[in-house]
Amino acid sequence: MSVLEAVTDSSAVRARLDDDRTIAWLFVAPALVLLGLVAIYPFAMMIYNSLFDFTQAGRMDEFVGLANYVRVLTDGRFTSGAVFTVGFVLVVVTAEFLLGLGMSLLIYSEFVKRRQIWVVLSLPPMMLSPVVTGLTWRMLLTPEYGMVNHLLGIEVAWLASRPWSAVAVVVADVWMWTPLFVLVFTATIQSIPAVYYEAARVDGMSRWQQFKWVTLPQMRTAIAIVLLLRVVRAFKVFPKIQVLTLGGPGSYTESIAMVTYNYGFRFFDLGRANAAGVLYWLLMFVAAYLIFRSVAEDLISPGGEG
Amino acid sequence: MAVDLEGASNYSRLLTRGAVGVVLALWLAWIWGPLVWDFFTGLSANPQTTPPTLLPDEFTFEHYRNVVVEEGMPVYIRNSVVVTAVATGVSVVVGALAAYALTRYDPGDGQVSFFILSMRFLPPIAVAIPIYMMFVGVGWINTWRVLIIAYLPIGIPISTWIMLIFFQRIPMELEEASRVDGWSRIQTWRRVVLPLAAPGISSAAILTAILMWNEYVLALVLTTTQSAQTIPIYLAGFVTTRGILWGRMGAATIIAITPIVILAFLAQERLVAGFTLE
Repeated sequence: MSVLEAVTDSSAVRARLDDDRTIAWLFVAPALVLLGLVAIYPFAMMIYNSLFDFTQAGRMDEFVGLANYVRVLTDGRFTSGAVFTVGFVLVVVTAEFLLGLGMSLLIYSEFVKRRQIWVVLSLPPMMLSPVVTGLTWRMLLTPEYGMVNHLLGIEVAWLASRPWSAVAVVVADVWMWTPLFVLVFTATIQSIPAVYYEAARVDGMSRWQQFKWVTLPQMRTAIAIVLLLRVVRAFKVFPKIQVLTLGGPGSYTESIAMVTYNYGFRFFDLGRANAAGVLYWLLMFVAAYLIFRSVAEDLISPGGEG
Repeated sequence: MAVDLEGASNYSRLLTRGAVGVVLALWLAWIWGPLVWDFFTGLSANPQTTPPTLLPDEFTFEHYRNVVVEEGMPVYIRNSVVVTAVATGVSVVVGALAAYALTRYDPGDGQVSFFILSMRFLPPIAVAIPIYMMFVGVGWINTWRVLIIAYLPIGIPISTWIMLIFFQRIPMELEEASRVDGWSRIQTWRRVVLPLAAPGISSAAILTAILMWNEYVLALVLTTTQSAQTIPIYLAGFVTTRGILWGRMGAATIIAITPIVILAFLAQERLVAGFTLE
């Protein structure tokens, strides 16, 4: 920006600026070209392909207009996958947010020493593959040999009954992703200047008031970013469920990504797979846009009172 | 009176401290318990017992041997290493160039960075299906190169985004000063920008690499045999095709997460910085 501010009428400066602009575009070009080729072009092809029927062998057949969309929206699979996924996102992100916030405040309370060690010890699950998370919880939740039923002294068929298979999927996701909230929140809490709390105590604020009027406002940007990240990621849930419950019992825990995959590679109906992919993207884009709009203010004015 | 109050508050502080300790212990068990369970399952001669026990009654390395020798896990590891390394390398180089230009002289007034970031909203399956259809005809399915291509829409946005935030904090005056001193663009880049940008670049590289090492959906669609399949596909196979061989699964899981644990340990500071963007 300071280059722009320095603009004068001198043609030499203008030549220099044009020069900078060209070079900047050259630097950005590889990213744009690659994303165009490997993301935008394929995605455009998918929209185009969604208007055609395909043979079981994957050959493009006849133009069918919006028929694939009608089939996807009326066959019950896609809609139930969408409902499950939206519910899953709301439940896991809320649970991870509350648990992560609680643990962060606990770790940074006056009763805990060597806080950084506690943060580091909290991190491993979020670095695992969702496949590893799924397998690990599958072992723990297996009725006969699993540790969970044994420790709790219960006999629950976690992976094959309603609503327990959904609970299993949620538990595995909360185990995996609460650490991210702990990491981001503790980093933020740590960066709040101590004088703010001293001032609050001088004003006679209770612990709760300090949290509400000092900690929380300072955390707004971090909360906005981590919520956006998590919602987008949770919408993509697939491998964790695939290895835990295979989407079962029936299609009870099938996420929207699994439904889309199954259209194409289990039922070999690429027409419906393409239409489902487009609808899935639309749903995610709308959700991300709504969150982005509601938190945009916090992203622009960090820590501001709005 | 005053002493009594002091005593009461000391007592309640002690109680609170005890409660905090209990919660922290539960938290540690919740985070680490499942991983410890994986570890001992992989070493247990009888991994399925009723009731289950945490410590095996008899230790064995048989599962590790089976996984490595019989099931050829090294092939999957090789595939994962090659694909992760190349796709991360390309993403970080391309992302670094873009992030640098965007922080120094935003050529599209925020439009370009928004476009790059919005790629994160593409569901992986919505990338996998069209890429599958594009490359199935030319016989690229089941190759490293198709996986590398498919990983770029994940790698470029995430690495650009992380570096964008880090690069914004590098004061531009340093570059201007070195230009005034008569250094060329290239010299300025090598001697001023690169050393300052290195922490941001390594954070971006680590996070991108972890994402790709763990990726499942694209690899599931785009690879069909061991020759190009990655570790997550191999691991998922324990459930879908072979029934469940618990001991092998535990051993394979531990092998799969070891590189990440080592990376996290060696580059803990960069990793945390990448996740918290601090």
